[in-house]
Amino acid sequence: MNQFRDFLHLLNHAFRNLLPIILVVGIFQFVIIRQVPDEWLPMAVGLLVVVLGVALFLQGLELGIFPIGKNLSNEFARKGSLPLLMIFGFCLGFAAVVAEPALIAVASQAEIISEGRISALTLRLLVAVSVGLVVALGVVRILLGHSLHWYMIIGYIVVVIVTFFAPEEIVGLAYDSGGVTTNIVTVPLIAALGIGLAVSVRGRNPLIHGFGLVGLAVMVPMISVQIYGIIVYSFGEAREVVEGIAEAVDPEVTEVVQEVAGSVLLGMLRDLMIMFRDVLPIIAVVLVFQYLVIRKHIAHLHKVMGGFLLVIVGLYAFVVGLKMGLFPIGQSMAEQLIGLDRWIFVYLFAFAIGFATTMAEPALIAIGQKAEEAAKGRLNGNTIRILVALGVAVGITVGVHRIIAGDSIHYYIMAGYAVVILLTFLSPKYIVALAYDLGGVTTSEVTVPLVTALGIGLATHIEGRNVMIDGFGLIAFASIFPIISVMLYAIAVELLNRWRGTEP
Amino acid sequence: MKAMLLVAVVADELEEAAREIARREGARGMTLLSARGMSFPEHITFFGLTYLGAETVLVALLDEATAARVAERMNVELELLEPFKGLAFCLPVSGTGGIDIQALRQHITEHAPAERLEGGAR
Repeated sequence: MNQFRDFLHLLNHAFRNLLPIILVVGIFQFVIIRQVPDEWLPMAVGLLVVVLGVALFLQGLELGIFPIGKNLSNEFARKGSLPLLMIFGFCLGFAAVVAEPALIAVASQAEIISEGRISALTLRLLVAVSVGLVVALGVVRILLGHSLHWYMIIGYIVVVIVTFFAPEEIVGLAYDSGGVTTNIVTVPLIAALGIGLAVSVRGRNPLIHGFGLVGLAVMVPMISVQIYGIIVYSFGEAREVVEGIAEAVDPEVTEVVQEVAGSVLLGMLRDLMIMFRDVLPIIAVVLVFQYLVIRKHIAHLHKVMGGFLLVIVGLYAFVVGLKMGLFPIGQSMAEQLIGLDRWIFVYLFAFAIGFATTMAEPALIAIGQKAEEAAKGRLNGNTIRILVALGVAVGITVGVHRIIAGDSIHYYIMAGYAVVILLTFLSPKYIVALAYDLGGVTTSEVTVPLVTALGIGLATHIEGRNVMIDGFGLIAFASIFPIISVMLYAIAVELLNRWRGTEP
Repeated sequence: MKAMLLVAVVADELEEAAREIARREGARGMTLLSARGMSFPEHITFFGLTYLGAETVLVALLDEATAARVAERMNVELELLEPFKGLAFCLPVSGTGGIDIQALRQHITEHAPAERLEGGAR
């Protein structure tokens, strides 16, 4: 009974999280386009399904993923074996990335763009290995208690330098591959691991030291993919890649549920299994280490299993709901707005859709809550979400401007990261790790498809833009600007406090 | 009838089992606090850092007999006195601020008599 009431509460909560999207869509439809969208009923149903999915997902995280991450790191801390912990970090990072569907998509696009110089499989393995290595490094950082800012400053300086030399075709993709590595399930798990580790050792602060793993996992693929790109463009031979082009270029959202053997139910079941398959490597890593290395039963086993199940089902409902409710409306609105031939509306739309989808992002809701707990009253989860959403909105708007203006992505990205590096120096140290993690959280199941569709849509409609090159890179913008907005906020709060402090 | 405060400090993975014992013994509710614990001499982990275990503190106001019983059952059944497990004990409560301990006791005997007998056999 209690569980049920909790769930109702969550449902209510999830609904309020989705209000911004509904408002944005409503305002655009009635004020600017001035027509009732066709098929508004499936859209409404879709949004309701999204609400349900978000509620289930969050419940599942709380029951399954957060406890197991916390428990595992506590057990590793008790064991005190650094090699084992690093191997675990590597395996977790590797498993989180290697089966990531978004990365598979990006990798096959890379193969096409580079005319076969880049091999999709090598790219995936490269990204997975580099993420694994950096998670292993990241856990050592937590234990050593280093502040994240030096790691990030050096890392992003390398990113900017590498970008300068990297072939232009590969830049957008490289940044996108950084963004897509961390999905909605892996982010909470990796974050829980870091926070749990920081909590399990005396003298480590969950906010300053516990966060940061996700931020590192986002940064490193940018470097490795671009270096790979430089190498293959210098030494590799171009060859024809034909297969799969149509698939990758076609931005159309596919059927919500494909029928299998004439039954929608079977189709849904198959999709659920696919979703399960995607998180299988991570579950395998967790189980192997739990039973072979720690050799203890999972505490609250039935709860954890239920939690994982809820996460998968919730995620599925969420994605189906998005496909029913949000994507069609986003697509039709984007087309209609482009048809209006007034760029200002496209900018407005980009801003609004960025803001609204980020507010609905379930992983962000969860991480915001964790940050609020870890900060012990210094931060507010909702404030963080609004800041991140604003950041994404600005980022996407800037990215859209780049596509419309046709500028090279090089300069935008380098300028963006230069600002990030500068702010990292200036901002109070407690926010740095969290800010970078939030940059990684924003780019998951909701934002990525929507933003990619927007980018590809714009690039196809504007003359002289190459879909393959100009259509990508928006995700990177969506991940840079939240870092900036969160750090700016922390600096502002700090200044305000200092100013108040000087007044008697 | 005296009131007693049951304080059980248990490792995180034992929280559910501890809760179950208290429930079966008739406790009407309890407060759970997340905490971290350390041992002396310190358990040293990576880089000479001190390990802090995740634990839960369960607190409940009970009558004297029940509180002692719950604490004993927890210590024995959960093997709390082993390293990294925890500890359960009772504190005397001098003022209960109007809480009727007699009624509480009555509730406990009424609501969990069978369970208590079964527990007594062990």
